[in-house]
Amino acid sequence: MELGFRNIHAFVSGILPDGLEWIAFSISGIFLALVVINALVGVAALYTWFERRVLGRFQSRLGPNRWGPFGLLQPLADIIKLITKEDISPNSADRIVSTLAPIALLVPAFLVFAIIPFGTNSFLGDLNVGVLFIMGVTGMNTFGIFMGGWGSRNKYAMLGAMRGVAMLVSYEVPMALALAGAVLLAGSLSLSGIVASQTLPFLIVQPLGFLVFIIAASAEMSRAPFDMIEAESELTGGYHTEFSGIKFAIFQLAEFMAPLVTAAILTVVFLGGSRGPDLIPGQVWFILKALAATFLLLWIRATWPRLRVDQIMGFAWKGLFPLALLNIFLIAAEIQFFQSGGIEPIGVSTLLIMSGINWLVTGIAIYILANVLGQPSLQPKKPVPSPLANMYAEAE
Amino acid sequence: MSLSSTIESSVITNIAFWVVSISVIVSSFAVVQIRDLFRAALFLVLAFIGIAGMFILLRAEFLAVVQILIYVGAISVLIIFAILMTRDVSDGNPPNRLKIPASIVGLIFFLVFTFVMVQVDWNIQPHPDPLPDTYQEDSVEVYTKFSYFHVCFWFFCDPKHSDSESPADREVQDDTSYVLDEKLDSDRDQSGLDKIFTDTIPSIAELLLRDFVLAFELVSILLLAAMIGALTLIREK
Amino acid sequence: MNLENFLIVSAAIFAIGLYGTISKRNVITVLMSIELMLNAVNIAAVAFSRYLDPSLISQGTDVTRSALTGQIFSLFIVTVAAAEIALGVAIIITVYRSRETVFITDVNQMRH
Repeated sequence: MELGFRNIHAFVSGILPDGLEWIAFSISGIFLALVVINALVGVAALYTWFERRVLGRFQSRLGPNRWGPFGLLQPLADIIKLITKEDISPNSADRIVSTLAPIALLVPAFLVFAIIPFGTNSFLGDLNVGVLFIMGVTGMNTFGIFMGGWGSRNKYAMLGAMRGVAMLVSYEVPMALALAGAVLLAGSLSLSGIVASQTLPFLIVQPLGFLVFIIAASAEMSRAPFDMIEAESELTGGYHTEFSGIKFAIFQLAEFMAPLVTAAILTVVFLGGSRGPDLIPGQVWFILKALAATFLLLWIRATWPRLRVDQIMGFAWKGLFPLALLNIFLIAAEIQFFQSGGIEPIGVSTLLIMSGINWLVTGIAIYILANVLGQPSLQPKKPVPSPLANMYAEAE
Repeated sequence: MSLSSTIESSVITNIAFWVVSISVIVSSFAVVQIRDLFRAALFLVLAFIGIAGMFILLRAEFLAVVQILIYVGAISVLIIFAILMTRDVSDGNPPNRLKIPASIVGLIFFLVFTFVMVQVDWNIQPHPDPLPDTYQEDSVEVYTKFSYFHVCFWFFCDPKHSDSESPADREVQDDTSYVLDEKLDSDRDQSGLDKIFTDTIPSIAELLLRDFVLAFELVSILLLAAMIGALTLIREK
Repeated sequence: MNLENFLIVSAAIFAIGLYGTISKRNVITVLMSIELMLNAVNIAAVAFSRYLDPSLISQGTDVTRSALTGQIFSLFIVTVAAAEIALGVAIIITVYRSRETVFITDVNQMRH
């Protein structure tokens, strides 16, 4: 039996006497909130272990392997260390704002997690504006960063926060457009609708959308190669410079929950969610696909170097944005061409033809973009002789 | 006990309405009164989120999410950027010499409006409550999307099934505190209205691209003009 | 939770926004108050769309168009508000760059 709001509400209101609907609502809501929060925090703690082990293997070293079998109790050690640290904050810091900053960064992850369909439907049922909700709520990450930077009363933290927010806001646009390509094909904004319409996973049908989304989502999470806001050698820690102890622990928790949530969105929108052969239940398929997506994000983090600030902005507006627009245009043209009637879903063979065209156009577009944006700046510039080059020769 | 037939008149909706509206009014008052500009901007964000909640109470969930996406996600960020870039000059949020006349004008405006709105006899459509719920508690979960949800629970809905329920069924199934509005006429097309409000997105899409397409295109040109204007103003020579 | 309650809330937010627009010196507060006024109008429009009888808005049987007119109106208001804020902030920053002030009482060179 699936765990959902309706199930719990039906159960609770069966127990209660008549007329006390609001108690049933409240109890169902609080119980679901507890389930969502505990599930996500637990999985995020486990994910910290996973990330450190895998990063270690990528870098030819062992990860943490001291605490517990294979180092599985390492997150517990981290939590104990961070909780018992002293909570120092500057004298002139804004108390309320700097206390609320980590919480403001945490809430969007929970909100998105609550509407992702693990089986057929999510914990709250099928929200009919699911994709837009995800976009709107991930746009609220900026406030956590702003409040962290402002609450510290530290010029460098403020600068780091402003740069971080500029990057986040720039990458929201390609991310929304990449999701819009998937929405066009699915014909519905709801996540369950997108899962139900993926007779062929959208990874195969629109590779350009997948690429744009995965890069834009990495930037939204401020993970490498876009983690310039926490590059400690540059800005002394960015917006979380002046946070220590439990507040820093919550910042780190939010940072490790983000890849999980992004992997879940990736799985639902591009990998087919819980669809799969009926050998194992749909939830297990979802977990396997989400693990693969998480590993992909981790792989990207482990192998690519960090980009500079101006490179990041240029890439967002001159690289990803045209690619995302091209993706939408292509999908819309194909839908109009292959299915100008409009109601019946697109068949698998049509999707295969579309994916063939899309892969071709993706390759061509990336090649053109690399030659226009990338290559010229990589050529070594010809050295211009300085006017002081021959000063000793002339003086004689 | 059905889930959705008592939604609109139930205790929890009224609690939600009062909580949301009081928080919106308090936050908007804090926006204009608080001396520290950054906190005023944060209260503005809270007001916008509260207004999105009011849109959800008004069965306009697409508009609520658009409000969060645009107002909270973009406009508030712009305002906070403006605050942070003009930080060292602005000495907070001082009032000018028109403080007393402005408060009198605001108060008079509010009183006149409230009086007018309470006095007018609005022709309120006997708007049907959301479609009732035929969810059976011990139903086996069938593993396809379209058969799990038989009908709609407010806006968490499967619209393909919403036309299988007619308003006549509701009176038979519901014996709880469901209240029929007085002006229920049988010749009004109620099921059409309910179908529209259950999932507003297809109807909004149709309206935007068919009836209001001129306004749609003009707004896109307006946004282009605003973008070009802002970039021209900001560009350093 | 009926139409009058929503309209009273909308009037209250509009009155607060009006007070902020007229009586504040900092131009960013004025901008925020204008946004509050626009949002109050949005609430009123959507409340009308949900509660009023659609056959009184447009004669005929086209229920969709009249029932959702308020929401479409609000959508356009939101978009126009976004454009206006972008330009407003650009103007604020330009004036700040040349005059080093954000108080509207200090930008009065055309008065005398």
